[in-house]
Amino acid sequence: MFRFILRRLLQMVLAFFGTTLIVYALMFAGQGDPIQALAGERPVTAAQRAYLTEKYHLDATGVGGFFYRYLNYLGGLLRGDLGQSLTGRQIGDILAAAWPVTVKLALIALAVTVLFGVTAGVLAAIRRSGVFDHATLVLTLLVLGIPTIVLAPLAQYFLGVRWPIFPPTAGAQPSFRALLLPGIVLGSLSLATALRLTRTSVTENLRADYVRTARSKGLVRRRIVGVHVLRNSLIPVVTFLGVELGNLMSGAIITEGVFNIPGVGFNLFRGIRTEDGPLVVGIVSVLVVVYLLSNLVVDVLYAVLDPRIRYE
Amino acid sequence: MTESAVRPTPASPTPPEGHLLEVRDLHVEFRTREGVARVINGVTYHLDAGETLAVLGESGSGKSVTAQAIMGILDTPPAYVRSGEIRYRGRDLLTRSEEERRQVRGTEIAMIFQDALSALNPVFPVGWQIGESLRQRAGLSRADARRRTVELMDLVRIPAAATRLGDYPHQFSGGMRQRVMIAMALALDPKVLIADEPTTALDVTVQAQIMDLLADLRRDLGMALILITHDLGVVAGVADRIAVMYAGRIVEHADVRSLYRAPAHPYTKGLLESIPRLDVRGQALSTIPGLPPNLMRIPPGCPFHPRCLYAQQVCVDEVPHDLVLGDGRTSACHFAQEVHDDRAR
Repeated sequence: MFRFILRRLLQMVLAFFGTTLIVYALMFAGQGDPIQALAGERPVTAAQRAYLTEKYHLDATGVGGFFYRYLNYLGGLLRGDLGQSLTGRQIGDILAAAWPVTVKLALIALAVTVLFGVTAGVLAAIRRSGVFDHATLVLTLLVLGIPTIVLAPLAQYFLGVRWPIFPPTAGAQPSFRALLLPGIVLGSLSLATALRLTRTSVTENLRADYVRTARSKGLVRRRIVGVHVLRNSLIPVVTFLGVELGNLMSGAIITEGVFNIPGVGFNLFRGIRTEDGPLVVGIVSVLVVVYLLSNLVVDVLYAVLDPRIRYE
Repeated sequence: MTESAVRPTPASPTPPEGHLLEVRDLHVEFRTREGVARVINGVTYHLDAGETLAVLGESGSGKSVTAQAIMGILDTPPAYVRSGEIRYRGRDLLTRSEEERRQVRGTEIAMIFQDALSALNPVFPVGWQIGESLRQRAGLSRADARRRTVELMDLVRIPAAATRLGDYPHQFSGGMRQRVMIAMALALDPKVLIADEPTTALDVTVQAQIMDLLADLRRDLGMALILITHDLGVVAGVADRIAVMYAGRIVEHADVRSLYRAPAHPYTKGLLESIPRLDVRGQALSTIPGLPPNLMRIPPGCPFHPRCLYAQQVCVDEVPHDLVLGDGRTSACHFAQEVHDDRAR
């Protein structure tokens, strides 16, 4: 197991360089004149141009110049310096402010997913073809069919404005209560998937031979389902949830946008919209690390849950 | 051995006394989308304390389903017990509540299955799985359960048992896994052990070891054993009596010696003749022609008649009743006596 983790960490280093390089290239390759983009509509004086050219190492041109800037950027990254956004703010500070909000939102969404999705999935499986099973099937199909861009404003309108159960928007320094509705909206999609996945997995395992053995041991049904079946059924579900947590952590552009939550997705979207290259690349670089780490956690968890899998 | 026990006696209200376990005129059907499959059609057999009954038959003959009906672990749906009785110590299990039946499982009647790899839970250590019954059913403490688990694993001759408690099923060989299954079934000291094709998935040498182990355990622990198999070779050394099943019926029922010496049902005869013999060189393998019947369309009359060398018109018209041949032998064949006397072929 130790060797497996070590090997995966080494692979992560490669993946990290690869992804940051691609993102860096895509973000800056398409740009015309970065200095003019920075200035927007206003004219740029020769002195300003000279200053900015030096500051952003724009004097070196071509592929060599690109790699020079990329390596320079990486060097800063490795020292923990994400650089400045075009608006002059430290990207590290922006992320430090945005991340806790996104993490809170992600955890709410994940809690909703586990609490309702997994529970309902188990119930639907043990009462297969019952009313509950059919009801959840219709509901999950509905949720899976509606894109977040529709679901989020609908929830905001009905539950935030029409019947003001929740605050309609979050704003800076959002409270737990303000994040609850966006968390539910964000979680509903993974909830539906988790429900379907759990139901299928539990249904399959209920038919397994070891269930027959457990029954022949005279165990009560609650224990057979709650211990024997559940432990086996949760292997694929936990894998899904792990990957999903990585997704949620990287911010939800639409949900954060609709509910005006100053999280990672919100900032990333702003970066893209204002062509703020350093901001986008900075956020994405960190997202890559979050993604890689969450995948590693999933792999390790997988081995813990299923003893048949041993990584060596 | 009483004759009345092997005869189907659905109409008689007085149960014969003294059998440990008795299945009487059991009917089980599987209700599927394609139709109703009559899987068990009036099975009657009994088991006395300390004896070994072999239930023999091809796949689909209903031998495992009968066993699962005894255990009360049939999957309903699709399986439904239509009628019959399963008497354990004189009381009909089928009329009891699910909770009462659960109490019987493991403590009175235990079962082991064909494929131990899938029958064991893959994500729990074997020690945990054996100890589970002790902790959950017998109320043993963690430490006591652990101690008893090691004893049980020693009993089924798993080497270095104490060091293997934490191993998972996939870390054991096939034979060792089946020993784990047996240890698990023995945990609560059952009076009846049902072994459902316990050696089918194993190598021949390991088969013999497991059969020896089962025979020894049965003797040492004073259990009664129902051995379900399709392998006549497995049965010979171990069983006291044999019940041969075909299309959900017991077609022949006899003690092992007389059955091997002179089968009294054409199906049993065919089975015996299809065993390859090492002492006769160059002999073509004999097989029973045709296939087992589709259980949704069991042929009228004797279900074996389309494949039977002895079949006459009467076999198509009439379902044969059990013919008593003496010594408690029965055969559900119109020509049982002829088949029996025909042995010197």
